[in-house]
Amino acid sequence: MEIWNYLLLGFGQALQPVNVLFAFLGGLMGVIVGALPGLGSVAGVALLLPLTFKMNPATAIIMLAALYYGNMFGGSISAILINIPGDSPGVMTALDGNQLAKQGRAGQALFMAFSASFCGGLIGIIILTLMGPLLAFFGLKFGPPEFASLIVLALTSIGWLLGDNPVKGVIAGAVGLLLATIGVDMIQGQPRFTFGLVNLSAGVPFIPFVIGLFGLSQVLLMQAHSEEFAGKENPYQKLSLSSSFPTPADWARSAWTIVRSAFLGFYIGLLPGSGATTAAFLSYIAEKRLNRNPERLGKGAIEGVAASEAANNAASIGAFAPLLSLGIPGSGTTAILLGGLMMWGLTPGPLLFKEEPQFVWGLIASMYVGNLLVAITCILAIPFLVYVLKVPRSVLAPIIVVICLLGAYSVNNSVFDLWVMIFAGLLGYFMNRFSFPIPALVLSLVLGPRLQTSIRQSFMMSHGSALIFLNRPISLSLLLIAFILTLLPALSAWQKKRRSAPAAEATR
Amino acid sequence: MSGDRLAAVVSFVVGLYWFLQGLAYGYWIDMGPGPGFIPVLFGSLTVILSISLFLQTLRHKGATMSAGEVRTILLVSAAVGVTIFLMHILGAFTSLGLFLVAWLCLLEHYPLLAALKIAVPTILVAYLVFIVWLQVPFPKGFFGF
Amino acid sequence: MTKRLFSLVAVLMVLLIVAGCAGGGSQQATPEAKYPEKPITYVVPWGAGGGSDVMARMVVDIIQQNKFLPQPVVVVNKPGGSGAIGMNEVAQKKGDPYTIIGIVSGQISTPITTNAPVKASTFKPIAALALDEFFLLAKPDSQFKSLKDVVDYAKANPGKLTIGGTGTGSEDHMCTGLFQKAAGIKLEYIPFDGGGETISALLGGHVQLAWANPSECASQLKGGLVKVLGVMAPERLKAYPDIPTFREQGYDAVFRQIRAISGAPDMPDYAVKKIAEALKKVTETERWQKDYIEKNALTSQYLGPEEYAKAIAEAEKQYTEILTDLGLVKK
Repeated sequence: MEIWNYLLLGFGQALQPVNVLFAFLGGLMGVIVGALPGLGSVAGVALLLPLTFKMNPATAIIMLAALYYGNMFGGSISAILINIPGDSPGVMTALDGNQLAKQGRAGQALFMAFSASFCGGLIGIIILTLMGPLLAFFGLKFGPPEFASLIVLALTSIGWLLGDNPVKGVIAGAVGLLLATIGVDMIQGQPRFTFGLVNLSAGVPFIPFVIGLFGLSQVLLMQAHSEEFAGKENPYQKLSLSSSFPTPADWARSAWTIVRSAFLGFYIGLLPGSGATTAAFLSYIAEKRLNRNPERLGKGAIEGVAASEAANNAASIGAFAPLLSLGIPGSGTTAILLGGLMMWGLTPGPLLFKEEPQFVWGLIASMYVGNLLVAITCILAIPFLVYVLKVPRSVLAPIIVVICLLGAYSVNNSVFDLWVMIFAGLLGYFMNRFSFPIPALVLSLVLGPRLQTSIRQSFMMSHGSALIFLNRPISLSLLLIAFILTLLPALSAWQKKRRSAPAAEATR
Repeated sequence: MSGDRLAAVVSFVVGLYWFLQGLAYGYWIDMGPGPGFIPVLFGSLTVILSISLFLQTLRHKGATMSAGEVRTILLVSAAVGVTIFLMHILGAFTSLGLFLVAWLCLLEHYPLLAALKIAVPTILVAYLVFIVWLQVPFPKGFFGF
Repeated sequence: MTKRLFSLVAVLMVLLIVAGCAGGGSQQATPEAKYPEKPITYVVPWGAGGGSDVMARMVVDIIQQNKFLPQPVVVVNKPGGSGAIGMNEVAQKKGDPYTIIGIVSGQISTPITTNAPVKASTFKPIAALALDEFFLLAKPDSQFKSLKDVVDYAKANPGKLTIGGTGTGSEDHMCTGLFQKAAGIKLEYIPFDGGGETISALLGGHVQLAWANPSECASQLKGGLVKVLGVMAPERLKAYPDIPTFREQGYDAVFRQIRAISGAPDMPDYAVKKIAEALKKVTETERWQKDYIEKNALTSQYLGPEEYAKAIAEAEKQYTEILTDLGLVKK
C-alpha cells in the first residue's frame, strides 16, 4: 500500500497545472522531433536541456521525459506515411505500416500505432510503478554472455524474415553482419574495412543507411516504374477520425501482441546499453514467430505495427528504471537526462527514492498524464496527418528526396552520411527489385556490432573458455531456446514424415 | 546479366574480400575471437551461399533490369549527388530548393510558377524547423544560409 | 523519361559549375584588429550530452552571458570514430581563424593507436581548462578493501582479475596500463561502450573492478552501490577528501584527463590570443567554478597556449609509452 500513497503524492505533483502543461508541451515536441527523420530523442533532449536550467527541476524533468517517450509516438508517423522511419525504433513500424498506407489504410495504421504506443507506454509505467527499482537490479544480471546469447537467439529467428527464397534471405542477413563489422573494432581498437575513409571508422551510419534503404529506394522505384504508378495515386481515405478506427478484427489480432510486446520491450529497455531500437526489432521477430499467419507480416499486417510500437514505447519507459534507481543511463537520451539531474543537484540512485520521493513519484505519475495527453493529441491529429497522402506522387517524390537528405544529414551533421544514404538507396532498390528481404539485412546490421563485442567481452571474462555461455543460467536458457527453435522446423518435418509413414502403410 | 546472377557475383566478391581481410585481422587471438572472427565466419558463409545462388540462376535465369531502368535509377541518384555537391557552394537550403524546382519543371513539366509555389514553402518550413528551431549546422553557402 | 532525367542532371551540373566559379575566391583574410567579425564554430567531436559537449555548451553560454567575445560561439557536434571524424574535418580548415575544436585525452591517444595522420598536436593549441580524475571502483561487498588487496590477488592470479573501462586505447585503458606497470601485475582489461555500461558490468558482477570519472559514478557512490579503492590524481580531491591516491598507497601511477580547446591548424596568432583571453576569463567566473568544476568534481586548471602546447607534447610522449607497453601501437 506504500506504493499507492507514494503514487498519490506523485499525482499531487504531476497534476499541478504547470506540470500538466509542460508534460504536454514536451510530449508534443517529442512527437515532432520523432516524426522528423534523422532527429531522434537524443537531439531533442540535448537541445531542450539548457532551456530548462532556469525551471523547477521537477517540471523540467517531467517535460524532458515527456519528450523522450513522445518521440516514440512520432517515429511511426513518417514511417507509415512516407516509408521513412523517423528514427531507428521506427524501422520495424515502416515494414507493415507503409504497406497498410499503400492499401489505403494509413488512418487505421496510425490509429493502431498510437494506441499500441499508448498501451505499451502505460503497461511500462505500471511495471515501473510497481517494481521498477527491483527490476533494475535484475537487469544487471545481463552481462556480455547473456547479450551474446540473446543476439544469437534473435539471429536464428531471422529465418522467419527470409521471404520466398531462403538463400537470398541468408545472403541478405550475412551481408548485413559483414557491413556491421565496418569501423574501428571496439576491443582491439583496430580500424576494419574502412577503405581509408575516416568517416567509416564509427561504422556504417545506421540511420542515414536506413533512410536510403527505405526512403530513397522508393523514389527510385517510383521513377523507374513510373508507368505502373501512372494515374494510380496513393489510395487515400476520407479525412475523418471514425474512418481511421481499426476494425474489431484488427483489435482482436493486436491485443495480445501489444501486451506481449510491452512486457518484452520494457524488459529490454532495462538492460544496460540496449534501448527502444533493439526492443522494437526483437518484438517484431517474436511476433513473426508467434503469429498464426506469419507470412502476412511485412505485407501490411496491423499487428506488426502494434508489436513494434508497443515495444519501443515500453522500452523508453523501461530505461527509466536503471536511471532512477541505479543512476545508470541505459541509452544516449537517458545519459543526457542524467546530466540534467546532476545539474539540478538531484543524484539518481538508491537514495533518490528515499530522499526525494516527491520528485521521483511526481515524475512517474506525470508519465501517466503525459502518455495519455500525447496519445489523445496524436489520435486527434490523424485526419491532418493523412492529408500527406493527398499530395500527388509527382510532387511527393522530390519532397521525399529532400526529407531524406535533411534527415540523413541531421544525425551526425555529416555530408558523408548523405553519400551513404544514396548508396543505401541503390542497394535498397536492387534488393526490392530482386526480392532480397530487406528486414534480414537491417536486423543483422543493428545487432551485429553488439554481437561481436559481447562474444569477445565474454571470452575475456572467462579467460578463453567458451563454457561461460553454458555456465550461466540466463545465457544457457537463451541458447537452449535458440537451439530448440532452430530444430523445430526439422523436428516437425520429421514428425510429419513419421505420421504419414503409417498412413502410407495403411493405404498399401 | 540477370539481377540474381549479379547479386551472386557481387556477394561472392564481398564475402571473399571480408573472409581474406578477416584472416589478416586475426580470426582467433589471445584465447578468444579476434577482430576477424565475424568477417571470417560470415564471409565464408556469404561465399558459399553466393555460389548456391549462382547455381540457382543456371536453372532459372531470373528477372533482368532493362537498360532504361538502370539509366533511370542512376540518373536520379546522380541528380541527388549533384545536389549534395551544390550544398557546399550554395548552402543546403538553396540547393535543395533548386533541386525541387528543377525536378518539378524538368521531370514533371510543372510551370515555373507552380513549381516555385511548392518549393518555396517546403524549403521555408524545413529552414524554420531544422535551422531556426533545431539549429542543425547545415552547410552554408556564400549567401550565408 | 530518360531524356527528361538527363536534362535534370545537366541543369544541376551547370548550376554546380557556375556556382563553383562564382563561389571561388570569396574568402578574404580578416584584419587583425576587427577579429572576430563573424561567429566562431566550436566543433565537439563527440555526441550531444557527453562530457566534451557539456563543457562546450557551458563555455559558450558563459562567453555569451558576459560578452567575453563580441561574436557568438556556435557548438557543432561531429561525433564518431572516438573523435576522429570531427578532428579530420577541422584539420582541413588550415589557417581558419573561426574554427576551434574541443580536445580531451582520448583524442590524443586514439590517433596513436590507429596510426592516424591527424593527431591532437596537428591543431593550434589555445587553452586547457580543466582536469578530470579517475577512480578505481569495486563493489562494496568485494574482497578488495585497498589497492594492496588488488595487487596481492593479481600477483596470485596473474591475468585473471577483470577490470572494466570505456573503450580501447582510452583513458581508462591507459590507467590500467599505468597501474599494471607501477604494481608489476597483469590485469584483464575489458572494454565497454560508455561509462554507463561499464558501471552496469561492475554492479552486475561481470567484472571485478572498473574505472570511472567522479561525475560518472557520483550517484552510485552516494548510494553506496560502489566503493573507491583509489584515485589516480597526484593528491586527494577536494570533493572527496577520504579517498586515498594511488601514490599514497605505494603505487606511483598518476593520470588525469585534459579538457582543452585547440584551433584549426595554423590558426593566426591574433585569433589564438583573443580566444585564449576569453577562455581565461571564463575559467575565472563564479558560474564556471560552481556549476561546472564543482558539480563534476573536476580540477580547475587554466593553461595558456604555450603551456598547453607543452602539455600536449608531453602527453603524446607519455601516452605513446603507455600504449606501447599495452601492445596497442601498430607498427
